[in-house]
Amino acid sequence: MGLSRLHLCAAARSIVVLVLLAAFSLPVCAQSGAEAVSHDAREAFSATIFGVSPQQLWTFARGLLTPALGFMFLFLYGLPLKEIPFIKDITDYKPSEKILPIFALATLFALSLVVGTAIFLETRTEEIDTGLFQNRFHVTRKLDLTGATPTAIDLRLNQYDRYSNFRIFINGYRLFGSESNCALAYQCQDSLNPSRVAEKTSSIAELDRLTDSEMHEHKRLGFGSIHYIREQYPLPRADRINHYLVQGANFIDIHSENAGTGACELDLSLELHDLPQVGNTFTVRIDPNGGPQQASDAALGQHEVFYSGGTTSTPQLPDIIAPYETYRTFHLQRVCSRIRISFILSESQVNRLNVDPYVSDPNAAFQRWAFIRVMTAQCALLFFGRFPYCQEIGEHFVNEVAK
Amino acid sequence: MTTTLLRRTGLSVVTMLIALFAAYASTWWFAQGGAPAPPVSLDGIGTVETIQLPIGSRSREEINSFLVKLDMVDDFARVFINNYLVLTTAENDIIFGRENLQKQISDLRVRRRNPSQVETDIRRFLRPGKNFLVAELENSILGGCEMQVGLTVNGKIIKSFPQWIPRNFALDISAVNSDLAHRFRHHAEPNNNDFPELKISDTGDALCSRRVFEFILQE
Repeated sequence: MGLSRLHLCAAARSIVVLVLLAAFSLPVCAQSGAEAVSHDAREAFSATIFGVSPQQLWTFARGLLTPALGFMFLFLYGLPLKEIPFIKDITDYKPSEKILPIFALATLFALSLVVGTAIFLETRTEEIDTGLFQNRFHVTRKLDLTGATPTAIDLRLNQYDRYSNFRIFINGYRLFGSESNCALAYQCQDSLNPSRVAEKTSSIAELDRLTDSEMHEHKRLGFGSIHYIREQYPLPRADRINHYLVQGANFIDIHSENAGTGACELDLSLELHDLPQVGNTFTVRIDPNGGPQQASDAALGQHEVFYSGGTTSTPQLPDIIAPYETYRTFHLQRVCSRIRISFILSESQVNRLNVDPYVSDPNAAFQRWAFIRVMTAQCALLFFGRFPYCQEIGEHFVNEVAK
Repeated sequence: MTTTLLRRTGLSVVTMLIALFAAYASTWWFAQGGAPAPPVSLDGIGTVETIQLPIGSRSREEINSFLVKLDMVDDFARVFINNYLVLTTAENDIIFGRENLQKQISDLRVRRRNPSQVETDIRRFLRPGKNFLVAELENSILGGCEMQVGLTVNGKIIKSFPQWIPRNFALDISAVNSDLAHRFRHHAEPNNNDFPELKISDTGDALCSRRVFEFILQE
């Protein structure tokens, strides 16, 4: 039996009314939600779909619940739909038998869709893309030291432009950095400017004239400096990194970025001493110009150049510099290079590196190195390098260890 | 009667399942701004986590301000957004505490023109898709290592911010080689009572913390 014209009209009107109700209820929900934003942080930060929040969907679901339950009750028990709400005023109208399943299943579908969407939105969590982050964060160079027997590993800073920022970390601990070690005009230069040295000397001489009581007052009140202002650090300079290294995975991080002056230049060498084979020095250069693009993950070459100006492999220079995805046209404060040199050391290699002429036990050797490292830094930063005073502390500790 | 009831029940269940599948699929494809996932530690790099932007601030065009603020920094802090340095404590001009020497020594400072303010708006560095904000803190070797980071988008403070970094004043072990950190910690004792400031510490001059905050912006 087909639907009569009257039935079709009634059904259409009902659907229109339902849609109108839904359309009406959404803005109401949206309005109440908007008001709640200022009061309810949960709603302000919830997930949304096409701009609709779970709270709005729950409100809409509550509106759908009663008609859906009513229609489903009649549908499941095979009871007739005697009249349709909203259109009672049509005389001689009797709903068709086929209208009820449509209404029942449509409202059930809508209710399930709304409730399901609200639940999925509430439980949705954003996935973390660690792979993409690591690709953009740094490039990795692997150093294979299998079978090598170094007795010392040095990191030498050969050249630095003085106006960019850089930091060198060994296994996460700072070895050297522009802010802590090269903050002042007389520091980290290829050749020391006599006038700068004179300025430095006059400033530091003030510190050296402090009495012991003044010095203690300074230390107590935090009047020192977090910068190594007493040192000049003429370049090139090398630091031994033996005791920073551990059995298993190790890494050296070299981070460089433009400051507000727009270029960066850094030249370093990793020197492995007492290796039998030739070629125990690896140089890493961060160049401000453009050049061939480097692989993001590769073996460490003998001479590596990282071009922070982007790749020149294509005639038309791309505006985006890989892998950091910075803009060539906006060069201030952009990362120039982040390089991680990673390598694995065996227990015997670490023990060979972890030696001290004064103590034979590797643990005592590490402790002594760690203490001297702290002492040297504190003497330089807080005690203003008063050598006799610092020496006294050093001797005290050396004697303690010897006991 | 029973057969009809079962048939109708089955039809209803199928309708519900189709609706739930449609809800799941549409949420998967079209939803924005889900809750933050649990942080992920990357050994030797730091901790990566997602942040949830407020409703109405999930596309570049909707963002009128995205403020990053550093507070109580001890000692060297840096904030990068998409590999641009946007905040740093470098060149904050407090290079030496003693007043009569402060100016004299500060005059010798290399002027690198770093972004050394305490608060900045990072809108111009935002891009459609995934954005990465990196906050890292480095110790001088003196004292503790901590800072407070605040994120405010369109005047709304991001959930769980401002945050103290690292948590509980302790070294964020994921930022360093954990074996070396444990070795420092193991040798932290015995404390030298004559010179307590000379204690070996795992924070030392470590990169105390590197926190990475990931968020997505629509086109």
